[in-house]
Amino acid sequence: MATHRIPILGYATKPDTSGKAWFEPYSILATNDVADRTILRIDENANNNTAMSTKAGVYGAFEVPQNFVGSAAIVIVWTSTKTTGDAVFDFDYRGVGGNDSESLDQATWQESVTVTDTAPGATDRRLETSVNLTSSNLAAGDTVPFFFGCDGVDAADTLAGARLVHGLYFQYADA
Amino acid sequence: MALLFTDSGSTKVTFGTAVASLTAPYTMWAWICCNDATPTNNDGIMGKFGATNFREFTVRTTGQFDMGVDMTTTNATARSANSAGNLLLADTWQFVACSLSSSYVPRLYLGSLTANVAELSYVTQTTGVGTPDSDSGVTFTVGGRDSATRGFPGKIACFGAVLSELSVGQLRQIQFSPLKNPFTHVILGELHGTGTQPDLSGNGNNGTVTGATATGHVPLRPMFGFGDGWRGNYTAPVSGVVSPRTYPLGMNRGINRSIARRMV
Repeated sequence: MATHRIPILGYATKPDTSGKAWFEPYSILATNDVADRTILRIDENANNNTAMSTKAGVYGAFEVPQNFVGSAAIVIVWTSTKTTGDAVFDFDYRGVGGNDSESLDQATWQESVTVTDTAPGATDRRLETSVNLTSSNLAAGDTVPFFFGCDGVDAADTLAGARLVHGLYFQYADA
Repeated sequence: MALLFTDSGSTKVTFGTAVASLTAPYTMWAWICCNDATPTNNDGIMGKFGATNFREFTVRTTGQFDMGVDMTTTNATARSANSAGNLLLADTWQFVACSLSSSYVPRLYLGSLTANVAELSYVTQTTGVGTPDSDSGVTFTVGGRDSATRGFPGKIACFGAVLSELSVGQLRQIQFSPLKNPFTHVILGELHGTGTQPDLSGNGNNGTVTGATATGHVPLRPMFGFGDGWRGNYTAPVSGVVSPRTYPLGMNRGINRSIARRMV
């Protein structure tokens, strides 16, 4: 059995309309700017000094790989320039499968999961956190629409600044 | 790509009169790059430039930004302050936007490749009084003004108009992914080539180029940089032993058929 990770912020990714989740060059908050790639920034405003007050993030979709068997999880790679406080990440999703059997226009999420992670010990350090999904909700070939973001309504979300997401992955095990 | 317009020339892209009326509230935005930060005339960025029913977004000879809305009693107008942080820059890609609220308050915004968009300070900010004069029948123009030689002094890469007053945060959601933003547009375009300019909003109001030439664009691509692994392409496992594999007959190349091999 092997463990796999696939990135899931692909072409279908679209920010919500909150104004609190957007894509920007890493150079805007980074210092050294050697690799000026695009990152997802989730922030109450552009001042990098305020805790989230609402839930905000991006919508997307991915396909469950054909060699999926189980151990489904979401892995978040992120950082912050702040070194205190916790960020609460939410992931809502639904697995839609088959051919002409299930609607892609669903009214509810199948599952909503949450993980809380602490700010880095020093600015811009790579952080990795994960949260398990219910593997029986998914099958190989399923289309999985999702929402990923930070939940400022959750009292545990205390990080007063931007969450800079460098990667979002679907992790699973094969046979 | 982008289109290069000529300061005070008859250059423009016209999208016709069927583009929805810019009733309040609305927002217009664009990525621009001036080759002259103090143009010869007050040139058009985008909008509807009817003589008595305008929705203008322009740059001034002083390098300031202007917006104006024709109204029955007092026009809504906003002009950016004449200070370094509120002006056009030469040979610099800038993200610009203007909005009119439902109570006819005009606003201007400015950002860049290295700074998130923010509201400008104003030397003029006049709330409109009365009601906006109807702009139906006025063509939507980018890079110039429809009836005057007021071509934009530089390049425009992409633009859009939304019938809502976008917040500065919502403008941030457009700034670095302009063609994949979450807002419904009445007109949305990426200027490229000199042929028909498609209206990416889905409303079908394609544009016609007059006088502008194709040029390089602001480096905003790809819009999202995390790859297409969502399709489930095979990637090397991060841990564990790969399952035994069998080679199909067609690939054995003289090796024993259907040999099961364990890969380390």
